[in-house]
Amino acid sequence: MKNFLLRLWSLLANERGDVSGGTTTTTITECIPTAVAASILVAQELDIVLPLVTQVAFPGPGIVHNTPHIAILTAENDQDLANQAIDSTTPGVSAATMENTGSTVFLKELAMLGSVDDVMAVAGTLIGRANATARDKALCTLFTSFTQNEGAANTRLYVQDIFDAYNFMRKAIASSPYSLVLHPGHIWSSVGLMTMAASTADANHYPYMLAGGVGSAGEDIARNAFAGRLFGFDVYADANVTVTSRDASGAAICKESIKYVSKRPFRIDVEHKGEYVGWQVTGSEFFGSAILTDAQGDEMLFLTAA
Amino acid sequence: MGRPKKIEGEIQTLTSEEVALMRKEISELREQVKSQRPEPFEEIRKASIKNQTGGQQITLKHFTDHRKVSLYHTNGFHIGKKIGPLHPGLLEQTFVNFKNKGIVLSVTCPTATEIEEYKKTDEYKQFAHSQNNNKLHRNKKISNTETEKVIAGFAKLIGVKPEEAIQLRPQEAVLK
Repeated sequence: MKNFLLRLWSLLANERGDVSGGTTTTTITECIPTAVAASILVAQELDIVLPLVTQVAFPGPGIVHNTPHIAILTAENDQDLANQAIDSTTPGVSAATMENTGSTVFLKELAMLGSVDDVMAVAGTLIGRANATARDKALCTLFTSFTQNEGAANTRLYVQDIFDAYNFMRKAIASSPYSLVLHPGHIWSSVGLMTMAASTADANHYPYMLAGGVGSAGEDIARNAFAGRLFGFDVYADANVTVTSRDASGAAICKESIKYVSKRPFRIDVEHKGEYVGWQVTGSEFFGSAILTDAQGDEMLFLTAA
Repeated sequence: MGRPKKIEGEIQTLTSEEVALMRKEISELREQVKSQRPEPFEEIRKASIKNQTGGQQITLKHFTDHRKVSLYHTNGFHIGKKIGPLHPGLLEQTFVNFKNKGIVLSVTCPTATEIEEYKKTDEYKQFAHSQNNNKLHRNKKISNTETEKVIAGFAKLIGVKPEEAIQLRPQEAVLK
């Protein structure tokens, strides 16, 4: 009788799911969406240049993505083929080679015993931050590949340089909007763009911007230390811009200046490592980037500090 | 009953000279003991530095399947300037783009001596002339030549320097 009652009680408890065999522990596999969500959230904040360039999906086989170059049509009187629409000196193809980039985090089971969901969110944030930075840097290093350069080493940025860049983009018939991606030192240092509001009477300063009235760029600068749009460009500050000594290479670009080719989007993989008693969480993606139209991008090499 | 004078004198001598010596010996002993006995928090700090692993640490490693390459200008106005670092698959396109503009790139950065020698050549002067012409506006003062002539003439008439002729005096100097 006693055994019968024990077995009956056990059956009832199992049916309720709270004894022997039932568990409420969250597995790490179930938390993969948590890691992915955290990674994507961080990436959205840190991907500064990616939204400003052409994004192309490249699924399937192949590791080199080619885009043929079509020169701007100009009126030509010469019947010579070399002088017509497709210029013989113009590079014919923009080629982006796919690369495998990722980050991996090892989560010890000792740390996971607290809260799997929380630790996976942390892992996802770390991986997302690392991958987004790698992506942004890959795009920023392309700025130095533009053959047109408005500045030089040990040269400070002036307003006229921005006008020169705008002039270059317009002459190239680049499609707007134009974006100006600068190092924070280009904007806020003592040799930066914000000094143009100083009360100095020369071609490099625009003191009347501060007195421009409600809604002016000067008001934005005085209140927020930043103006999102200046002299025809949407301005972005990106610390991932390549820095050499005290100089940094930003760029004036349009959508067609650079292309970002996505081979396989971001993915989280989890593998248990028995000998280390933990899980290896890896976030990876395949992508490639290249200059799409060299004639529609302008490097801005200037000082970031006095 | 008081102590004998002689004994009192000895105690006084002990108090004034040997006590000073005793104090000195005690302080030295304290320093010696202190140096031999490790400070607990200092040892904990050293141990925490040596302890590189722990259940609460999460180490992130970044990986790629390639190594990036940097290129350098070997001629032109920006000789010695670095390009990149770039993915190896982009090198050919970059070489062609710059060659079309007359710039030769190299994986090796030119030395300071080579740069100095190149800057004496006519080719560099040609590049520099083109660059400077585009940037002649730098530090250009906004000025009206005709206005300056009038001010100079007026200043000469009243016998002062041109900058003094248009100089605004402080309010206190005017109202005095």
